Amino acid sequence: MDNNNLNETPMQDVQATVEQAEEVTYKYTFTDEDSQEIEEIPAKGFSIAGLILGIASILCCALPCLDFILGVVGLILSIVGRKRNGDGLSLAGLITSIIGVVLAVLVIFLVSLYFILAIISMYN
Amino acid sequence: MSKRLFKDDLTNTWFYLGIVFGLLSIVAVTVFIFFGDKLSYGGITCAVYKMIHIYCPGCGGTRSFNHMIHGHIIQSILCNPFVPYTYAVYPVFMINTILVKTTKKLGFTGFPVTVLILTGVGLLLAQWVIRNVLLLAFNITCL
Repeated sequence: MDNNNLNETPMQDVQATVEQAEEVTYKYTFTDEDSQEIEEIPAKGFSIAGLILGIASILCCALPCLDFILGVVGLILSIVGRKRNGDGLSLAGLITSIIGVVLAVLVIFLVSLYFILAIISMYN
Repeated sequence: MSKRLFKDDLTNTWFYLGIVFGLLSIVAVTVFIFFGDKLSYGGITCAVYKMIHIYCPGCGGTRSFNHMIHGHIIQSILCNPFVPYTYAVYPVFMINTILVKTTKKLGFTGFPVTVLILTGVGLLLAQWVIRNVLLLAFNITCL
């Protein structure tokens, strides 16, 4: 009896085993659900940052310049978050940031107008 | 793959942000215990109210915080309900998260933290609208 024939594994079997092992490894390390989750994490980070800055901007209305800066940054982050992953957080961030920016712009505009009118009346 | 501990994916993120918020709150409470009245009634006045004569969403926040740390809860709610709401939800969330993380048996894994935060934002905007309607239409103010 030839022992060499018994120990030799056909090449096709080896390839099939390797392919099967690769498939199993891929299945248990990186599924489609995981890839979706990984894509969502940075988007949710943008949404959270946008929401926090939006809330901070409407709570800082006493200081219009700070309010404006926080609002604009919050708005940008919320828009990025909304484009990547349109969830409730980014929408809330968008709303709060817009309110913050609008209030800041209104106050800055009125303060500027007040000073311009004061200067004009001073020269007249 | 590790099993998820919480049903809300963002619980861990909010927990770490909560630690930062807690540290800032300790500083704020310390400052307000000593200078609370000065900051509330003689501090910075709201630029929106000064220029446009309508309340901003944050109006009454400082007074609300001052009333809250002195134990005047109703006055705190009347000044700005967002502040007492935040400090009512915050300890429940933090204690629950710590319990779940440490014991893995006690606590509620489905704590809806994101929903509660969005509710807080809704409350902040709703009280702003109601306050201004009361002021402009009926000349009623709680501040």
